Amino acid sequence: MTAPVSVRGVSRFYGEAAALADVSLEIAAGEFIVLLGPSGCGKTTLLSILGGFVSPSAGQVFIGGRDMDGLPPAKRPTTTMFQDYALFPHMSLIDNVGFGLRMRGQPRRARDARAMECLEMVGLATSAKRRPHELSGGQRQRVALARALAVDPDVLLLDEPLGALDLGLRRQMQEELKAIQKRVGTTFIHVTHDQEEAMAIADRIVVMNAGKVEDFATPAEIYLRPRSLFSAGFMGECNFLSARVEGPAGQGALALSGPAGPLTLPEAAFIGPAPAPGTRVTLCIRPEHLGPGPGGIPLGQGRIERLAFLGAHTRAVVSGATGPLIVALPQNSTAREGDSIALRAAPEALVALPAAGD
Amino acid sequence: MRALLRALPWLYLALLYAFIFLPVVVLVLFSFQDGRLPVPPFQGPTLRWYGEVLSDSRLMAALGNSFLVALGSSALSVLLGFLAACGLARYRLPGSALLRGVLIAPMTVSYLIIALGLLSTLNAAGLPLSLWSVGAGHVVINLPLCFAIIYASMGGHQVSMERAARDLGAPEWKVMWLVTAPMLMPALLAAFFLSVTFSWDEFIIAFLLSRFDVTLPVEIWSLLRSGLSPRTNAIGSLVFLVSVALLLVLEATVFRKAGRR
Amino acid sequence: MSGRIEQRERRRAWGLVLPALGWTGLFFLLPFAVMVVTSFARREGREIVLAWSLQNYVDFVEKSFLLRGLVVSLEITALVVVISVLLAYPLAWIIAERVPARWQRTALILAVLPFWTSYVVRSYAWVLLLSRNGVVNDTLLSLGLVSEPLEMASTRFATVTGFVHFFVMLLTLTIYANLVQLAPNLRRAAADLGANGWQTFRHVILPLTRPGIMVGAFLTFVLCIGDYITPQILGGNNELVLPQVIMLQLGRRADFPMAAALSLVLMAVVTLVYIAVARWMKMERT
Repeated sequence: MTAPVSVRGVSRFYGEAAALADVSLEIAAGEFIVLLGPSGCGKTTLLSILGGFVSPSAGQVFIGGRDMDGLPPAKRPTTTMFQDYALFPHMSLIDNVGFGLRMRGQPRRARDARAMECLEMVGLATSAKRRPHELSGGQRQRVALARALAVDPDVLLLDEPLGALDLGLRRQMQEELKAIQKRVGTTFIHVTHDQEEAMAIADRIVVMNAGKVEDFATPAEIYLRPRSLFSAGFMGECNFLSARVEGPAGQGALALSGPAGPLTLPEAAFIGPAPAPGTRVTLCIRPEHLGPGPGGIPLGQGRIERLAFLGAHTRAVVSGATGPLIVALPQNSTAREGDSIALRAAPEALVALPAAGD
Repeated sequence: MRALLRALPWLYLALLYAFIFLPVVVLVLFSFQDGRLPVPPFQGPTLRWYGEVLSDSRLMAALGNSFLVALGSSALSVLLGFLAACGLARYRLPGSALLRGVLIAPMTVSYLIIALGLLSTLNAAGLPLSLWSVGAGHVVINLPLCFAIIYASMGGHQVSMERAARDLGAPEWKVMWLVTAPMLMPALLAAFFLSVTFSWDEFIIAFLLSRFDVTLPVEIWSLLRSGLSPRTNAIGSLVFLVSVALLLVLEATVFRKAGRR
Repeated sequence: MSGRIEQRERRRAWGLVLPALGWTGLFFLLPFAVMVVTSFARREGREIVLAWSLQNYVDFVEKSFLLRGLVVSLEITALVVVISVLLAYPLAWIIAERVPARWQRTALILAVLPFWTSYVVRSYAWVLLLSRNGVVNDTLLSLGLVSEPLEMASTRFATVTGFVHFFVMLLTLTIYANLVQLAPNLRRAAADLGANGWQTFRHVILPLTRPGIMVGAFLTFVLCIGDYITPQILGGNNELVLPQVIMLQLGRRADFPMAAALSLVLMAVVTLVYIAVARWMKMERT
């Protein structure tokens, strides 16, 4: 089963401090949503509110069109996969997975059959009689997933479930999570602070900071057209340059004065309506969109300070007129430290956001 | 000189063990005394006194009463202590430090004073003394102990398992019965058996709060008035045997297991 | 501020705590209050009259046999605490330091095994040992160390011996627990810095175990001063400790108010010592 989730104006205060401030989200049935943000951004509070462990100070939550106000976790069409898995140490895997069905009054036969089905789905059917402490971290994590899915929830809430795994296993589990979600079609809401993980599994990402939603879109949109400076910076390395809007330059473009002289940007580069002349903006340029050319918006010359070969590309720190910039040079680049290069930005990948403080 | 210094600790160890075991050895040895007085010289073994003890209906009734009171009061203490520990460890209550203090308070008061207070209260209320009043008193002394042991063993790592159970649809009593209690089993068992031991051996409350049905320590006490007798040695040895057997079973099961985990 | 979920949780928590709280209130706090009130009452004939008078407390100070009970109690308890600590510390130390690790648990269990005899029976066993024709006198006579049997039963010596036997076991446990939790590197560090065995003990081990000794000694104090059985069985009626005096008020004279007043005096003494120990512990820590 699956259901849409609607979060309307939800806030949560602890004393004076707001852990969540007026958050609204519309999530479609069957979506894989990732709540992404640094620790303390409110993502776990939001998940707890969805699961019914914490009640909101203001606002409403609807799941499948039903108001969840005052419903305890047991009565909600959600289940949670906990960060530490929270497997019952005194029960075998099959009893762990069948626990939810047992609470719903299912007879042993039926619930064992369903539990086996779920264990099979995560590839642990042969270990059904084992106890959790006999399993590896990755296996425990799968049991926790099977247990949460066994009761066929409309919405599965995942609280940093991959945080305790090492990198290789984490990548593999991401694939599996995504595949299982596709198969069962349940709405997944997954909390993480790992930006790569978010991009690997999410249909849409909610970027959160200081209790607010900074951005809510597909991974590609958030990466390429971030809606806030925080969102741009959190989703990967980004160069920020300040500039001032001078006025229209014809053909749907705007003239700006940048750190390295005047430049022209298409209106599409601006998030929201084109700003009035005199407004200060911040240009966001990903390292891979900055380079010696050919073509693009000129941003002056720079000197290569440091080089690091990272496999897919070579990362260069370049000191220019505007302070150090990060540039991703192609794998086959012959540049050396100390070289001087021209800096040009690909116009279609350049984003201008209102300057910080505005 | 050096050898003497090295042997000194072992000498001391032997002396102290002798001091510690002396009463027990004498107690058990003279329970087999073939004579009327449990004092030297030892006059050859007999099982006569054990036979007498086991066929003494008053002693056996007292033994039964002791078991009843010990098991009943300990079970109730563990139950009440467990519930209170859940309430105080899992939820934020206003004044929870004060509540904990009140629950622990009886531990700091001498049994004699607890017994006296209960006695005056029962007298004032016009309630009769019975095994029930003894049991109530034993819950008073064991509840703080059970609460403290169980409360201390309720760490944060069980919280998310309880949340998971709740999330999967378990009503509150099932969370406690199927998840919390099994996870706390070592602490619950330790609290229970410690309570049984204390209640089983408790004298002053049982003495002051019972009238016709008495527990074993009170019965033994009244035996003492008739002077030294190998019968008292026999019943004392039996009690020791039962306690040590219980201890060994505990050591082999609960504590060994708890230590390994 | 807090939502419906939190309110429901709070109600549930009260529901869980209430049974235990109710029991403690009904069978401990209420009796205690009754006792405080009773201590201000007077016995007149067979009736107890609530007089709100301090006469019982005045009597306690003025009637020498009542005050004497407290003094005897304090003397015996002090003896017991000091002797028990002095005997138990070396035993715990030997078990922790000299007994090989794999035998330590066994050695410890053996050292406290007689704990599991009935408390009443244990005192009785000491009567057997110390009586005029008991094992101790028998041995001393046959070794020719004494020519006449010693009168040891029904003396302060018997009471103290019985108590020390019990508390040596208890203190060995607590001091051992304290000793084994010291980091082994402390000893190595002291030796490395040139301390010999005695210096290490004197300047490192002993100061670090002092809080443990203090806690064990306090426990001994509380249990010893409140006990009726051991002095009654072993000490007899030659000199009475406070609990014996209290029981005497109850039994022979049915004087509940006086018994209550004496009990509260006993509690006050324990509380005072507790405050002193707590203050000492706090100073030790800073």
